[in-house]
Amino acid sequence: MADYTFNEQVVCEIARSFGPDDDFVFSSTSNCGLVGGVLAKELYAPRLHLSMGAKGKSAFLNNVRYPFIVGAPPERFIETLMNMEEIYNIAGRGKWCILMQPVQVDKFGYMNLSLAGDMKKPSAVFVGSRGVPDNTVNAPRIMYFVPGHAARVFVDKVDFISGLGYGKERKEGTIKWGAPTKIITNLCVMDFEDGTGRVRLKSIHTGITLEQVKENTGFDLVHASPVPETAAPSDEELHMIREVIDPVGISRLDFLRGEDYKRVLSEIMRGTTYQSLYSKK
Amino acid sequence: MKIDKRVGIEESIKGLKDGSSILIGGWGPFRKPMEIVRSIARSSVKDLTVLSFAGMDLDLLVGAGKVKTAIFGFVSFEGAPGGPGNFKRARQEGTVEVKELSEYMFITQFKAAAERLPFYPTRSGTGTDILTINPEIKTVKDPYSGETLVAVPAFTPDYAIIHVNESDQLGNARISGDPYLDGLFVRAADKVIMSAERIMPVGNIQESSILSCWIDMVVEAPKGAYPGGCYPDYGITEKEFKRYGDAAKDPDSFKKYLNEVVKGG
Repeated sequence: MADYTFNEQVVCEIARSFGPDDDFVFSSTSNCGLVGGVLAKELYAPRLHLSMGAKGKSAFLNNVRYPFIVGAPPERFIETLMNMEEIYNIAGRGKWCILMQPVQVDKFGYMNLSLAGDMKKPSAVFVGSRGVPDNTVNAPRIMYFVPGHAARVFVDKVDFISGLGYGKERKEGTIKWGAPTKIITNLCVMDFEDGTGRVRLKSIHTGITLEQVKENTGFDLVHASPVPETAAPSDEELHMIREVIDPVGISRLDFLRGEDYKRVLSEIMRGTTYQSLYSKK
Repeated sequence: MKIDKRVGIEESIKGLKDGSSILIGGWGPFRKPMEIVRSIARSSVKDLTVLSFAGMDLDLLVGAGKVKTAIFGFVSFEGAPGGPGNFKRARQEGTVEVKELSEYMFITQFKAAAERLPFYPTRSGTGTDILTINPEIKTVKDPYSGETLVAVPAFTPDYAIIHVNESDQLGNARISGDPYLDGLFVRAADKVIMSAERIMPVGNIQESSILSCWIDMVVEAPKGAYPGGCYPDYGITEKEFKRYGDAAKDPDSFKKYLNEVVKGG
């Protein structure tokens, strides 16, 4: 038995995606992304800016100890507030890096956030492509987070192209920025093969088998044999996650549904709101 | 002569015609002019083109049968309970014409309109199905480098409708939280209707978020963004969002909701 959990492994993989030269804004739509971003800023990428909503605006956060469970982040974590319009300025100039959760990804990294089925008569409707067409032509780099790795997510061809993967736009050089570089799931880490731009299985999380990954992927995966195991969290990373950044384990929530989610959320919320944490200090 | 742009809520929308285009300010469940949206739902106008970073605003108008075309950067309750059931059903059944754009493409059509330019060049949309479902959006060649860019056509809405924290009778207004894109929206539209939580004396609003020269009508509407939030005056009323989301799942239950909540029983 490993002495760490797979959500901790996921958080560390996100954090290690950043380095000392990364002077841009990181935003995410998940708890793992939030914890991973804070961990990156603490250990690997001090110039990274973390963005999150606060006080009716967006905010850069700093010195985050304990991520947000309930309510707005406390004042002392807010570095500065900004308007939504500034986010488009940041994105346009190539300084907005977002960890997105796609509905579908195909074997060349094209992603869908819009709908399922026929474009004219969809069988399911999601939020829309949103900033994906903007981010996949502008961002310093793009990463995808798939907490439920399944064959219906990793498909041969997406039903709607919301965001660019590695196709003719990049091969012809018409689009230079915003390329996806990494996909992190509950089973594995994927990147993209040089030259072909095909999704490649990079590593498999501790305790997961290659068969499990293949069964849950709807296209043939490029991979080395044997496939490496995703790196284990270091003692320093585990200390930061467990003792400093996320002692209640909000990164667990991304992988839970229904009753399990409600149970863990209520465990976390009991006594761990900001008010209860900081009013006594 | 003293100018006073204040009008009643019914008066404010009486210029709307069948087929009018309305651009709605705010973001998802935040600072939407819901009181005005509900009055449009009660009115007799139809076949509207609604443009929005949409939440309940677009969904309610779709559910009330007012929308012919929906143009949006997203349709989402952004973490508030419930969801846009009417819009989803309409998109699935093809009963509303849908022009999905990226968030930035949505913005650029108003940037172009606000500067009276025919289009706005961007890389956003390149290679995506946004261009497949919006075949009227063309590309343009950069005369300097030869690069092909997406040319998002200008859109000048007949009306922009926004909600703010405070306004004076001239329409100088203060937004306390994120102004989102409201400052752009009011410059892009032909006419602007603005509701405000509070009306302040002229001269009181010196650090304005919106200048009076963009505003045609001012409507006093306390809790005008309800059940959405209007920072810092009030947050989202989650219970009401849940009730809405449940009602919007089904056309019959939504009809009941409209009769009870929007049309006032």
